Amino acid sequence: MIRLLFATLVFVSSAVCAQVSPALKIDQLIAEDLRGKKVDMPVKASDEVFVRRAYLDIVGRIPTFDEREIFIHDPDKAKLISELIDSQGYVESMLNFYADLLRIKRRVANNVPADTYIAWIKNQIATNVAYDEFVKELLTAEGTIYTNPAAGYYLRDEGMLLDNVANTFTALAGTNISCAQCHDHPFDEWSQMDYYNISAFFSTLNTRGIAEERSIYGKLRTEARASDESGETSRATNRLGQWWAVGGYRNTITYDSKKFLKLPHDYKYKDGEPGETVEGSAPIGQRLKEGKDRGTLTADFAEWFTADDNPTFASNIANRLWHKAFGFTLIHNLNDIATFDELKSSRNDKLITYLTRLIKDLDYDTKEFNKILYSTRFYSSQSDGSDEFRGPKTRRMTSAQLWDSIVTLHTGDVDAWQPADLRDTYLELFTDPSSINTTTALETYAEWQKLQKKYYEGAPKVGREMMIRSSNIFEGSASNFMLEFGRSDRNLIETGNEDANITQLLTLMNGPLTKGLMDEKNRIMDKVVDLHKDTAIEYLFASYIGRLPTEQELENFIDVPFPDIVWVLINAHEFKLIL
Amino acid sequence: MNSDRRNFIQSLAAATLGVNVVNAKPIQDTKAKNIIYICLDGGMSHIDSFDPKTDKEVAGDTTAIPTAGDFQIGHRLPKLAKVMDRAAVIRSLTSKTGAHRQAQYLNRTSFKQLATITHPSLGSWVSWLSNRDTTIPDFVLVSGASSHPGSGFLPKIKSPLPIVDPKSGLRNSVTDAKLLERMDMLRQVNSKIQSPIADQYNDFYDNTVRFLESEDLDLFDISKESPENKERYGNTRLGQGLLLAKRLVKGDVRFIEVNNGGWDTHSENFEKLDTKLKEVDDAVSSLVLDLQNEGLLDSTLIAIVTEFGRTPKINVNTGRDHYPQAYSTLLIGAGINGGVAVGETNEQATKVISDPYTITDVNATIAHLAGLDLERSHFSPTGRPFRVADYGKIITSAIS
Repeated sequence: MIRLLFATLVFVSSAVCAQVSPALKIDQLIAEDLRGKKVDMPVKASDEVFVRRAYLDIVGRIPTFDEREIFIHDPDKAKLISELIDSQGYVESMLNFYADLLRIKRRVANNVPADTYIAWIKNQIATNVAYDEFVKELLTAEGTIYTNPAAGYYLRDEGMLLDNVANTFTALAGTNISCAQCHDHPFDEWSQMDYYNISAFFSTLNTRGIAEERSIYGKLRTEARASDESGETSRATNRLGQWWAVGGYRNTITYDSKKFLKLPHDYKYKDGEPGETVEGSAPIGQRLKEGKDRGTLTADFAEWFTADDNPTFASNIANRLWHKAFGFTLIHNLNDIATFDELKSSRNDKLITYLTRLIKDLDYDTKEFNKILYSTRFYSSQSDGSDEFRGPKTRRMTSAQLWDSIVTLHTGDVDAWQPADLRDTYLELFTDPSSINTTTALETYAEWQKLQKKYYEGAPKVGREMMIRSSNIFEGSASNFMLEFGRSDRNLIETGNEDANITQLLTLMNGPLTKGLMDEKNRIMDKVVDLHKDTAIEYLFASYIGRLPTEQELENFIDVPFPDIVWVLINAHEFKLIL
Repeated sequence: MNSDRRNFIQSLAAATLGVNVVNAKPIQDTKAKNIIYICLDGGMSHIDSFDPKTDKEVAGDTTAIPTAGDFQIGHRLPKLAKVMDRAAVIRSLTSKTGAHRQAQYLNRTSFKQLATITHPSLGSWVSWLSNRDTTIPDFVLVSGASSHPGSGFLPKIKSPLPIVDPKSGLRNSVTDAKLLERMDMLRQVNSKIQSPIADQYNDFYDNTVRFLESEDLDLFDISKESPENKERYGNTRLGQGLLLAKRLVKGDVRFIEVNNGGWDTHSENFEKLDTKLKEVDDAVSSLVLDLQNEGLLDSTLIAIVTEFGRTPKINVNTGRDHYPQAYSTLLIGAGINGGVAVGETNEQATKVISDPYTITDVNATIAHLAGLDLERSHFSPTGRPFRVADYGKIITSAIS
């Protein structure tokens, strides 16, 4: 008996001290904090609540009836989390995350198509490239959107270098330096000189193409104009300009070591004169100074920015991924977590410190980091309306989760359709311009137009709406539903919101997608029509709101026509909320 | 988003979801209780509308006609001329922004467009600072574009309610007869969920249903107007938009922004203006007369703003190009010093020669008449301070 007790003690103590799993460590840090506040750890959520939440948070949509059934019969959480993180849905859900963070649009730099940039990011997620490496690729990109799709990051803010620098700090270091673009930061330590010192690291960046190629284009343009004026062609000059833009030539990224950044004409502080050339140096840690080799400025910056001793780089992504999983932030404002080089106060200092170290220790393996967050006991707790660690936050689905869930109800598989990755085709199409004449350039442009028209080819539709993943829908009318439900317009970082308004309710009550779900041709309606009414009602409840009806509900709905049941379920709180 | 801010918005949502628009608390102590803000996008020629010139080289075929006010306007606006005793024209606007998108943004927000923040549009400021309990937002946007800055950094609940096409009214507002029956079933299912956010949605659904069942819905339905009325305003996008705006003012919506494109007259300026200015003439004059007859013009301010003026020099395509150096705006109704012209351009209409103003000053004047405090700083979620209409000057000679 004593031996047995002893053995148990050894087991417990080794679990606590020696090899505590990161997930357990997170739970311990939360429990410790709650103990201090005399609050118990939240109660475990039911399996049916868990499975729906895990699908929504990890793959961005509700589970189908069958997917739900499989988990309920074999509620192995670790297995489910692993499967979901390794699925296409995770890639799509994380693309939405990066698209809001990096303000990704399908067109960048005045009509340069970002298709290859988007496909490249999906690939980075799918192959689980380390997050710091991914960021370095963005910050050091060179070439065209085809030869190096990461060029999309700089081209997104083409012609607005200073804004791009501010956005880089906000999105990737959670630090708001935008005030210092025009004047010293009113509360933080950032001065306008700091801002320019940082921006100087991007001074050699040139997004206006290669000089030799520009002169080739100049010649082609003269030819095209002459042929337009002679009436031989119509609008050839214009089409040639389009070829030049969509081919990526106009905005090829190069680095020009003879380009310098100057202080603005209205610079008003004593530490510099208007128009003075700024040399790069970093205010944080004072470690980074512009070297003699101006050829590697952005690479120097990227190394410094992502280095382990930059306190905000790791905390920023940890805080954002935490927010994605739990619905509330550790440090209050996602886009403003640090003052200069110090983190702002958090809801649990030990936890954010631990998570910051964890993601570094994992070498920025975001899949693994996510897996750990979703494996915590805290994640499988009952949700709560507050941000006070009483459980994951009870929240409305994001616009993307709502859209992808409705598409799932319509088609059963939201990821069945995928856009083709045409990077190789484009690379062949837009080769070295020196071997091109006006006629072939115009033919190439026409070919490109054809390919662009086919971008959404084969996408399933309900009425006029394409039933495809939110992550494959960008600006344009296809995004109207999501914009109505608070999707970020991707002009600014992470401006999506889940606030309610009257037009959203009208859409859920009377909109075309709701009508489509109530239609007898709908996938689920077609399924239930032949079932026994009890079973049919159960099938509808499980498909829409992730639970079976109560006996009372079965009784209430037994004589109600299917379309009315569907209307109730799509409008139910349990549909739009993540419990 | 900042979660303090989110909490705040939720408590705000909870507070706003109680009452119907008709029962909203009345606007007190302000001259302009309701505002109709008309944006003519593309850039309206100042010379052919509110700042006519005698020099034929500059004027083209536009001639000046007398008005009921103390100034003349272009001959394509004969009906509007008769109500100019209630209007002030400002002929001395000037701007540095000659590009469409940037100018549209500047008009609506009073700020230069940046890639790091979105400023709230004037309608959202008015709606936010009036803070009334309404189901229908206090800011309705008619025929707006998706690039509209909306509520900017203010809570999204202050975003404009969009009416894409004034003819079809409020989208998805047609319900079938089963609405109430379904709502009963919905309430039963929802009763299982106890959470503050669920309570808010309960209230929100109840209010929306009450709205759909109420006469308020008719405010958005211009098919309820007589054929004569529709004819008077003109069977045009602008005409229908202003007819809708009039109904919304009667329903006490505080700020209605009506957008209208087609003013970018790089070619065939005069032909195009035959059509476009007639639209303005029919629609705005009818609106002014209707509001006057219903006793609402003393409390309703109508503003006509545009992106920039157009070149005094007529180009080879008989068009006029962008001209931000000089342009005009018109303010009518509540709080306005009727019949006066403020500022002037030289005889060639190439530059402002007295009382230069900017669109920011126009917005400051409107905000002032709407009772907003221009001196107060408001903070964005990242703590940056902003003032309504960004330190714009009130155009005192335009107000009574």
